[in-house]
Amino acid sequence: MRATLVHRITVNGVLREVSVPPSTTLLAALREQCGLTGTKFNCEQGECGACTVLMDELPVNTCLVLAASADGHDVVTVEGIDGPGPSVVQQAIMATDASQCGYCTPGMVVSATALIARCPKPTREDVDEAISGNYCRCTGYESIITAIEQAAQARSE
Amino acid sequence: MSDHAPAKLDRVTGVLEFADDLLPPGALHGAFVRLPEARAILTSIDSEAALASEGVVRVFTAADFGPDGPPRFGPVVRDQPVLAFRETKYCGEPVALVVARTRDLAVAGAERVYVDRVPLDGWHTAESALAAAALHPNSYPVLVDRKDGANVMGRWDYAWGDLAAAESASTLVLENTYVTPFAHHFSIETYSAVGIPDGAGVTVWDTVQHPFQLRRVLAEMLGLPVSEVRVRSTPLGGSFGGKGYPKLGPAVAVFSRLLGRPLKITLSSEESFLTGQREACEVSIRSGFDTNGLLQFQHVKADFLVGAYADISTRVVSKAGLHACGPYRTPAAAVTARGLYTTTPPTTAFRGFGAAHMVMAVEGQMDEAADRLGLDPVELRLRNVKERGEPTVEGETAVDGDWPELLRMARTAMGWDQPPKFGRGRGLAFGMKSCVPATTSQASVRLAADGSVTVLAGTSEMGQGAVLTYARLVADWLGVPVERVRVRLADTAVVPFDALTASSRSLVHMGRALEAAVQDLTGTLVELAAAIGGVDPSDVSVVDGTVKAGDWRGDYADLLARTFGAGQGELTGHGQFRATADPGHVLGGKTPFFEAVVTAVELSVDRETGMLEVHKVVHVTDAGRVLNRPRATGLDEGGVVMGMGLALSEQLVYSAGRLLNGSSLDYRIPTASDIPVESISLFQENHDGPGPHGSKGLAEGGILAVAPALAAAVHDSVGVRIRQLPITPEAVWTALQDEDPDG
Repeated sequence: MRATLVHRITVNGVLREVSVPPSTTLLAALREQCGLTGTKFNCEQGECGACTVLMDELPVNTCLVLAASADGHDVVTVEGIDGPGPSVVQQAIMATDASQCGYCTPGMVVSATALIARCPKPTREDVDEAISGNYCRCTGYESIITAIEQAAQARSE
Repeated sequence: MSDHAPAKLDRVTGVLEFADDLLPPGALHGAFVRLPEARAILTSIDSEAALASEGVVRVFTAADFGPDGPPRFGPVVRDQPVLAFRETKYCGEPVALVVARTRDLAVAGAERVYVDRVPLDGWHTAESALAAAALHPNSYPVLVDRKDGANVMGRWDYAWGDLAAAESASTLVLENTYVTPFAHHFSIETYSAVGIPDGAGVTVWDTVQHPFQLRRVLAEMLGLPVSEVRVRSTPLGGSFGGKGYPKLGPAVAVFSRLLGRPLKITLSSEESFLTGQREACEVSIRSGFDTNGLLQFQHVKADFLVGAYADISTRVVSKAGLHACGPYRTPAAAVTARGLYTTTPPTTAFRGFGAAHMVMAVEGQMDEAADRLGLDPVELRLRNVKERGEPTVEGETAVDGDWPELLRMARTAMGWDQPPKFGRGRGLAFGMKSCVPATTSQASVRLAADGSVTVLAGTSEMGQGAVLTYARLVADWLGVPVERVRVRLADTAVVPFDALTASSRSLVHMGRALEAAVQDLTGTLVELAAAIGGVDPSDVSVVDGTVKAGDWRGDYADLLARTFGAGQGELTGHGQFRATADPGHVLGGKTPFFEAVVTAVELSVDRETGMLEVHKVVHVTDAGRVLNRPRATGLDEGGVVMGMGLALSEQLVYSAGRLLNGSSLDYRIPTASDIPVESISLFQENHDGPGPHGSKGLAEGGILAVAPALAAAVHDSVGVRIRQLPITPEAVWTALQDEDPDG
């Protein structure tokens, strides 16, 4: 049997112990050990952004982060983004119809949430850059950019 | 959140479960063994090390099957084996399946399967396909037209008019070749499927657009009654045609039954590149015009490179050829469209279904003709484009929209009559595509005792908005709040038959089936109310969910309670829509409608680097009538950006049949930084479509005309013509170095 390591990771405010082989990614630990399937699997190369979560408030591609690297850190997945009810970002994405198939949406929500947290009044360029690591093959991005701009505005009001 | 919020909320919260999010109890995981060579003769497969690897329970190879090899599948012909038999015919064809406790362990086991093989030469161009020995011997069902060449899958010829006379009437003849490369759908969700042995049969959960077609294919492959096969399409994380025709479903069905346990296979992104591709195409086209710019003839030869198995390519190639001459009056034409086998992954449906290649060629010719004749490109098209009611091609549906108006709308929105800013160029192109003919959709609408409604439809949801649109339509027809309508899709054991979720057909076909189902249900309500009220059914009124029959009035719940007793029973309406078959039509019937679009772009070119900046895109679609405006706009915007990717950066690069860039690092799709500065989507709405309220399908049109519009704008900007996609900075820069800019 492969050796496993035990990691203590705070996930969505709850301290979790995950026991995984050393090569396990944070993506696999979240999906398979924690049952948090909102974080999505695709490229495994840090290109598509579908697996984005917040680690210590910064967006990371969990396909490139080992679970071991998250030991002792604070991780927020899409499941932890909403409070009671959808967040401003989630509301704005629904309002602008910026989610079609929905597969990239959790990663988009996380990247947009991180942007608005660190940059309450983002320019269009800020928004483009913040989600340039999140592929969407459905929408052409226009509605997503509008949603993030609206969310930033709603949050600052 | 007025707009049927649950369907949207599930997506933004990550609650919506896609295929890879599902795992039935006791499931094992499979991982394929693939070879990097284009082709290889398989000498032996050594599974010993893999079987000794942690967590591995089984390794399947062709040796697990009888003398005819592993079962074969395909939507048109059963030519593709679930594992390679004796040889691999394309780069990445699976040769073994390793089954383990977890996916990671299966993948690790797959790396310990050793395959002795003799590599063979592969090919990925028309010239090499025509020169090579036959890829397919005749020992299993295969589509091949050997009189045209050993690797010709099929050939379709269309001709009308007097070509020689038309040529002599032409004062301008243009002869060019347009080339589009292999491409990948690049859905953000990879392929994933689960097979579950189920009594004598099997249940399959699959990332598949067409659950009923997969059910048929599996039943035929496994020798089972259709009733023993249950297919559920999981919500698709993008598809664009790539998940339309059977891909993983056959493997999970076969191997889960052999294992006697549920089996899940999720492909990596890199494996997805090897599983679904858009065909490459080389179009040679000769076009004649008279001095007034009137098109006289088109002589078209199109070679589609379809990959190693037929998949749905017979339909792609025959259909693309039929409408190769586009929306223009063409007095004489000769079109030959061929599909050629290449040692590349089987190509399949891709948004546009072959049409975009032809649009690229025809629109390139129109733009060049306008330039040579000193005519405005819009004016040239207006002189040639067909008007409503004019015949398209023989035996086909006539023009069903105001096509000249699409051109005028785009011209106005682009500000075409005002010159662009210095250094910028503009281009415009018309795209059209027919819809799959002669298909059937059936639907049920169930009214529960409390008056809430369940819609059952075979459509798969992939982001086109079926759930939202069906809920709204049914809620509106029945006069109930949309929150009281729940849409359940795409489980063959639950929902009525539907042919395909493809070809932008669902709004029209399933929409009309739902309309009929609501009418059927309403008919039952009226009969029941008439009996209660003691009146003739013609005196019953049903308005906004309230039923009145004589002195009796009530809502649907009241009527059901009165009929069945409190809390009991339900009523179901059934409906269907069948597009008429026509055995004389090459595609089996006339198109129910056309998708017709015009795309106009404004861009600038950096002469030093060849880099393009797209400043503005105008996209006009004949929607008939828009039923969900934000989603229709989003589909068009998304289609345009996908079209920009295919036109400007996307290409699968092969070397002797070996794929060199099948990964997200090496194959670039557009990001948020690559989209047009300004994007305008407009709709023509003449309420003239066959769908509910006069609607037409529109989900593919976005990509159809983008590439030729960009190519025309590059020419307008810097004077070079690019006829091979993608229009990379390198291609533009190289063309700019050419002495003959129009060459």
